[in-house]
Formats: sequence, C-alpha cells, structure tokens
Amino acid sequence: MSIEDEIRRDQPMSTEIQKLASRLWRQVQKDGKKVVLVTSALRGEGKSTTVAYLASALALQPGRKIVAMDTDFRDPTLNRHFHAEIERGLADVLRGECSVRDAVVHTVLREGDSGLDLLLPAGDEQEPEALLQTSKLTEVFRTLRSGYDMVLVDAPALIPVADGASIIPHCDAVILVVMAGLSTKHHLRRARELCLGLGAEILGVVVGNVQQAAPEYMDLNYYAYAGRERRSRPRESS
Amino acid sequence: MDFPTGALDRSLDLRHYGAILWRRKGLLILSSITVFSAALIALSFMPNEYESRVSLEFLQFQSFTRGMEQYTGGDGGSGRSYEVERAGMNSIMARIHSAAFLEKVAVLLRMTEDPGIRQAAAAYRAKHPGQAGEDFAMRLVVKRLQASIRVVAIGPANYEIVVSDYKPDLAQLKAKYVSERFLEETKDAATRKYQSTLEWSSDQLTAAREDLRQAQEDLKSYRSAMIAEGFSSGRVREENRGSAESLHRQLRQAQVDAEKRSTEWSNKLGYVGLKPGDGAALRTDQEVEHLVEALRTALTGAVEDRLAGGGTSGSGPSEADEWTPGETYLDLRTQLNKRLMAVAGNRNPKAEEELVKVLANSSFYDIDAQMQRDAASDLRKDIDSFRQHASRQPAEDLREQQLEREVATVQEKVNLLQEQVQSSRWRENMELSNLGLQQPDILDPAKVPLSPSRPDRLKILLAALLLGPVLGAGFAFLSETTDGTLRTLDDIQRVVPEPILCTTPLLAKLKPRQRGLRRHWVPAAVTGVLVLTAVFFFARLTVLDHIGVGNATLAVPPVPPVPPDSTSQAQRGH
Repeated sequence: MSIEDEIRRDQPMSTEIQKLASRLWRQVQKDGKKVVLVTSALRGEGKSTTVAYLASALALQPGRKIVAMDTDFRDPTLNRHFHAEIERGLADVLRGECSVRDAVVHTVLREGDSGLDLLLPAGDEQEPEALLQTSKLTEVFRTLRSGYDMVLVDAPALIPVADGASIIPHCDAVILVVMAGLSTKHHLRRARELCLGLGAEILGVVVGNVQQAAPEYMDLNYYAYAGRERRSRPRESS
Repeated sequence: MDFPTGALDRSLDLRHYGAILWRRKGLLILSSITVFSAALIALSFMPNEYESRVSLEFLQFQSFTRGMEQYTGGDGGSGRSYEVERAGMNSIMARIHSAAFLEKVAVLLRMTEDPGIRQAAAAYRAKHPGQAGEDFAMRLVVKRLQASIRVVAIGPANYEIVVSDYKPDLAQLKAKYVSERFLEETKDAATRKYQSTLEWSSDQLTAAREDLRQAQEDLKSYRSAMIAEGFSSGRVREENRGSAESLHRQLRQAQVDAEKRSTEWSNKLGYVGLKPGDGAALRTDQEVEHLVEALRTALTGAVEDRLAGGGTSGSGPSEADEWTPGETYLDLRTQLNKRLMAVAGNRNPKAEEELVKVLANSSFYDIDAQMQRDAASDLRKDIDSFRQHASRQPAEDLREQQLEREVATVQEKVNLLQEQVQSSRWRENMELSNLGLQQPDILDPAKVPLSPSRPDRLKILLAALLLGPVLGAGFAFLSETTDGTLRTLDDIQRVVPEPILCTTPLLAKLKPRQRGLRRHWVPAAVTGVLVLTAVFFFARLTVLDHIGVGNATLAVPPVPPVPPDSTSQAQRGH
C-alpha cells in the first residue's frame, strides 16, 4: 500500500498527520518558515516516517510544491517509503557533481501531477560530517527555499552523531519526534538543549507510539462509527 | 494538537496499568517461575512432619461459692469465655513447655542418649570448654521438644496436645508419654494445691478461734464487771429509788435517836464517876464482838429486804411505810444489851447495879448509833452510786454492743473458715480418690499419624503460584517508577514545554527494540532459576544442617523408651 493510500484512509495515523500538515501549512503561510527540520534524540524513533507521511499529506493538496530532504547519510530510510530509485543524490550535489534539480526525485503521488519531490542521500558516504559542513549546503537550502513552498528535512538523530547539528542552522524550525516507550527523559532533554543551543525554534513534539503514551486517544471504535470503518479501511488482502 | 496534560484531569485507566504489566511481562514470568521453582526446591528438601494428637478434657472447675450461687438460682458466672479458654490453654502450654517438665520427659525417653545430641553436645563442649556438655545436651533436647509440642483448644474445657516429629511412630510415642506425664503432674499439682489451701485454712481457723475466744472472754469480763458493779451498788434501782431515799431518812433518824441516847448515857457515866471511854471497853469482849457483827449483818439484811420489796411489814416497799429492822435484829439487840450488862457486871463485881446499867447502856447505845450511822452511810453510797451509774448507762451499753458485734463477726469468720477447711478436705479427698475436680482426662489417646501434617505441599505450591505474579507485578510497578523512559504525554511535557503537535500510532515497522533485561528475559529467567537452585543447595549443605532442620535422626531416641512402670527408676538413674 502506497503512502498516498494510507494518508487517504480514515484512520488514526492519517488523521493525525493531516492535522499536523494543516497546522504546519498555516504556520508557513503566516510566519514564512519554509524549512522545517524533523529530528529526534535517538535513532529509530520515526523521523523518516513522520517526514514521509507529513510531506505526502502536504503535497496531496493541489498547488503545493513540497520537497522532502533526507540528510541521514548513514542510514537513509526516506526512500523506502516512496520506493524511489536514486541515481544522484544530495551527496553528489554537495560535492558539486550535479545540481539540485538533477538530484531531485519526482514522486507520482497525484498520478503525474505530483507536488512532492525528494532529495535523497544516494549511496554510502564515508564522511557525512565533513560533507554537511561545506558551503554547498547553504546553496542547496537557498535553492530549495526558492523552488518549493515547503522543505521538510529528515535529519539524523541528534545525540549519536553531529550531523543534525550541522543542518539545524540552515532551517527555520525544528520538530522533535519522540517515540513513547523508547526515548528517555534525559535523551529528550539533551536533544532539546542541543536544538536551543543552535538557535533553533522548536515548533513542537510529535509523539509516536501513542497507544502507550495516551491510550485514551486511541479510540478505534470511533472509526467504526456508522460503518465507516468498513468503507474507509481496505482489507489487507486487497 | 494540544492535549490536556494535567494528571488530575485524567481518569484512572486500568488499561494503562495493564499495559505496564504487559510491558513488564518478562518480570512477571521471571518472578512466577522463580518463586514456583523456589517452592519446589524448598519442598524437595523439606522432610515430612507428622503430628500425633492427644485430646484432653478438663472437668469444669466450680468454686464452692460459684456452685452455691448456681444452686440458689444465679448463673454463677456460667459459660467459659474465650479468655478463660485461652488462659487455660496458655496455662497448659506453659506447664508442658516448662524445662522441668520436659526434662522429665527427656529422661523418660532417654533422649539425651541420642547420637546426634551427643555429637552436638561434644561439639559444644569442644567450643566452650568451661561449660558442661551434659547440660547443653539436655537444653538442646528441651529446646527441640518445646518446638515440637503445642497445645490447641478444641472446645470448652477440651484441649489437644499436638506433638510433631519426622517419624510417625515417634510422634505417637512422644505424644503418649508427654500426655501421661502431664496428667500425673497435674494431679500432683492439684493435690499440693488443696493441701496448701487446707493448711492455710486450718491455720486461719485456729487463729480465728483464738480471736473468738478472746472476744467472748472480753465480753464476759465486761459483763461480769457490770454485774459486780451492779451487786456492789445495785441495791438501789430505779424502781426502789424512792423507797431507798425514805429508808435512808429513817436510818438517819434512828441514828440521830441512837446518838442522842448515847450522849445521854455518856453524860450519866460522868455522874457515876466513870469516864466516857469506859463504856467502849466493853466491846472488847468476844461475844459482844460476835453479837455486834451479827447485829450489823441483820441490819444490812433488813435494809436489803426492804429495798428488794420485802421487809418486816410484809407489804411492798413504799415511801410512806414505816420501816422496822425486824425481829431478828431486835432479838440480837436484846441479846447484846444483856451481854453488855453481864460483861459490865463481871468486870465491876463490886459496883452497884445502877453503875453497871449506865456502863452497859452507854456502850449499847454507842454501838447502836454506830450501826445506824454505818447503815445510813452505806445506803447513801448506794443511792449516789445509782445516780452515777444512771448517768453512765448509754456509753456502757454501746461498749457492750460493740463487744457483742465483735464476737459475732469473729464467730462468722470462724464459721467460714470451718467451711473452707471442710471444702478443702473434701477436694483433697476427691483428688486422692481420683475423682478429680480439675483432673484432666484423656479422651482420645495418641495414635500413629497416617499422613504427614507438614508441609502442606499443595497449599504451598498454590501460594507460590499466586505469590510469583504478585511479586512480579510489584517489581513491574517498581521498575516502572524508577524507569526514565518516556511513556506518557505527561512525561514528555515535563521535559519539553513546547506543544505536542500530534500523536501517531506505532507502526509495525517502527516497533521499538527492547533494551536490557526485557530484551533477554528468557535467559535472565533461566539464570535466575539456576542461581536460586545453587543458593538452595548451598543453604542445604551449610545452614540447614547446622540448625538441624531436616535431620530427623536428631529428634529420635536411639533406644525404645522404658515402660511407664519403671519411670521412677529411669529418673533415679538420671
């Protein structure tokens, strides 16, 4: 099942992402904060998933141009959500081997008229820290700001590596992703301090694994109201 | 998306706690397996313990007063309350657990000859050379007996002596000898008790009897004193008081008349040439003295007759009646006069008749005046004494009443003590004749137990099955509170004040990896069980052997016990 199908389904994940997308888009319109970095304290907390779903939800509205940028050279996962084939990527752009336009991958969310582009790392990079320190990165962000309505950056986890700290200064705002049951207090506190120390504006927190964090918000029966579940939830086999 | 983050705003959700338990299911399983395994291992090392029971019945004791109260219709404090039963049970337990009693049982069963006990005593002696090993052996045996004997109340005045051992026949043997020895001790104690009561009561009775005798004697003395006082001055009473006053006046008149005549005849003595003392010389005659004394007695008797209501007049005493001393008195008076005449004539043979007559009459009227004076004076004293007695009467009555009450009180005490002595004698006789008031009786003798009483393996295993998850749940909640993992929105909001933008469900592909013990709970559980097993083996080898648990042979007498008939011999031997 494609992300588009999942977003269109009336279920908790898509509903929450839709609400977040609306909120972000309103903020972009209001404050002009086009570049939003999504990161977390540790790896595996759902950054890429959040970026993928959020970018898809934003791009599903007609007339928007959204780009999702994966800056995790060590464990790139954003492309898995879109099954995109990468020929050239961000590393090539930063090394000056190609332009941003050449590296961007167009998705087919809206059957040819897609508003979502991807900028992926493309290949194993041995020294991502050094790569992200180059001045080319500023140019990349400038290009993306001018070419898109919104830029979503999937950054590496903040605590294990310093890659995310290199990217934050280029972004307008940060969203922290926290997976309940995995992150600890001191990890989250440390990540927040890192962001604030780099002068980032933290828009808020996206909490994953809400079944554990707030089970009262996971009333699945609501979605079965008036038989909508049967209509809105396609069978797994189909 | 803004969420209410206040904990107080959120209602209690049991699913949350269920989620915690599910999250920590490893701990639950580990705890359950560990506790159950521990119970299994412990049970495998725990020897079976057999209990032999002896039922005793104590005939309900009733004091004499309590019995009398019931007899006369009261309840006599009937009904044995729980406290009474408990007190009785504690009393039996204390007597059975006393070192003196258990030492007798140990001697009877030759328990100090047990090789295990001897070995322990030898080890103790080696460790403490200054102390006697035999004492330690006896103390060890007594301590183990105390641990293996208990008393339970099974109903009103019914108790059970429960003796446990690792071998059923030994449990029965111990129970039999303990119960029989206890019966003998109880009987001896009861007899001693009633004997001491009897002795005390007898002593008290003797003392009380002495008190009674003393009190009765005091009363008697007092009454005698009163009677004597009444006799000495008691001629005058309330009823003859007026008559006494009248008699006194007559006596005084007679005295005056006699003195007048005496004076006349004394003056005549001077006329005939004699001195006034010559007439008094006639009184030295023995017969005169005798007659004077008789005359005095007659006058006194006449006065008393008069006061008592008799008298020569024959009528009752009255103030108006003229009193006469009586014929006896008059005869004696005539005899005295004649005798004085005779003595005067004899002593003055040459004197004229007139002189003799003057001398005799002078002496006679002198004596007469003296008698009348004495009689009047005595009566006066009686009248005055009566007056004084009349004024003292209330105080004397009170004193007498007090003495009477004292006598009555002491008499009552004597009666009670006599009753107590009788009762004690009766009880002692009852005890001696085996009828027994408080003598326990064996209702159900000791039998060889057929099945072990402890440990209750099923119950222990069921308890372990329950305890394991409960402990696991406790550990789960404890670890939850000490775990720094962010689990709730509240936790996150405490760290990050920025708003929670949205909450997303967990996708299967993002399932968080387990960390620490939760990731490896299976090997952790197995390791726990193995460690526990090792600990139990270690305990079995070191601690349990040292304290004697599980070693049945230590509590076993090595030789068959001596028959009950030779109990005293065994004691002498010891």
